[in-house]
Amino acid sequence: MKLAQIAGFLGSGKTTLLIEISRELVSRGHRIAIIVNDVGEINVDAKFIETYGLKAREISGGCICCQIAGSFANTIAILHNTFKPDIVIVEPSGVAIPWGLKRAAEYSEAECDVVIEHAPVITLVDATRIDLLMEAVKRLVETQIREADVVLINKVDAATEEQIEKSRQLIRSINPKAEIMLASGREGKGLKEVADIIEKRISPRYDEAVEKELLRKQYGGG
Amino acid sequence: MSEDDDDALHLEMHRAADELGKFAARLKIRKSKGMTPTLAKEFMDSLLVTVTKECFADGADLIGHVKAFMHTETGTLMASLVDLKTGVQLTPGLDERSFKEAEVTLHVIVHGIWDDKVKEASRRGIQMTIKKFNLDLEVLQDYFETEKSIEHHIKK
Repeated sequence: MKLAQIAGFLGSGKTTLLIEISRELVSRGHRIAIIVNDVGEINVDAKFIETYGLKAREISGGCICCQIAGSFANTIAILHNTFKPDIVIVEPSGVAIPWGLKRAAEYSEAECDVVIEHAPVITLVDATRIDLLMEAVKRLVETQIREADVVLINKVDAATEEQIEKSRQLIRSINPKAEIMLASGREGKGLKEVADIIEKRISPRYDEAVEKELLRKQYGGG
Repeated sequence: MSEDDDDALHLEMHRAADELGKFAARLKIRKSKGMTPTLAKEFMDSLLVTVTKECFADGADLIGHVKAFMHTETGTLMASLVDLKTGVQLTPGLDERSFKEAEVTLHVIVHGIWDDKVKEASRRGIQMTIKKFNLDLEVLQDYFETEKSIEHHIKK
């Protein structure tokens, strides 16, 4: 079973994009389940996603990499046993750390007969708010970019050329290895390409040493 | 890296993530004369903008995400706000009929003020919008988060 993370700060367009990518993958014959993790205990996104006829499960807010890791693994195991998805798309809360989520997903292997593989970690950056975000929540945005395999500069339909270029330079400076793509969830731009990435590519499994190194760079002053 | 260093690092990470103020509520609204889909859209737009402006009046400096989901017997309506200049984005799924009762789930996440202030401002914004549209309100769930998500990392 493949797990695909669509990360990104709050309001970056994750839910809109996730719905459209899921519909694209369903049209290609995949069995898709979606896990959403709003920060509050009352979930909005799962209800909305289900109005599109997609299978969605919600997890209450909290610490994605420790406090709710058990319920996340349990949710994956239940989905595997009851719905048998071949791809599970995860929308973390918008304040989550991608590597911690990989580890939590792999816990589910102990709970059922499943082997988890990961699609490349996709992080969305809202091009229209890049200046505001870098001013107010710089560290979190940097972490999400640093841990991504692919960064989507989203909302390009509403952003100026200057904002798009600024986003591109920022991503390049934080994570030179990341693949950068332009996207618009509302206009469908980049949709098929992202679906291809989730469908065909693999990202490494959780590695504690890698996660610690990433966290140390970001938060530990190293 | 020692276990203590690990804990300190982890706590730092969560503090960075938790610098956003949050509030969520599940509401039941009623209008005895009935609510048209157009009025429902106006209500959702007004609810999000009013709550956000109240948060900004109390010191918020950035919208994380303010969103609401309405569920009625005639369908659903999603509303999302990330920038006051861009305005509320609505995804309508209501049919043409009027309805008398709806459930609304509201999420407010902003930067610059902590949870208790977001709660106060949001409650004020909800009451202002309810009054403006002359609705009856029942609060089904009213939740605000403290530092509980990181409490287990804090050594007492």
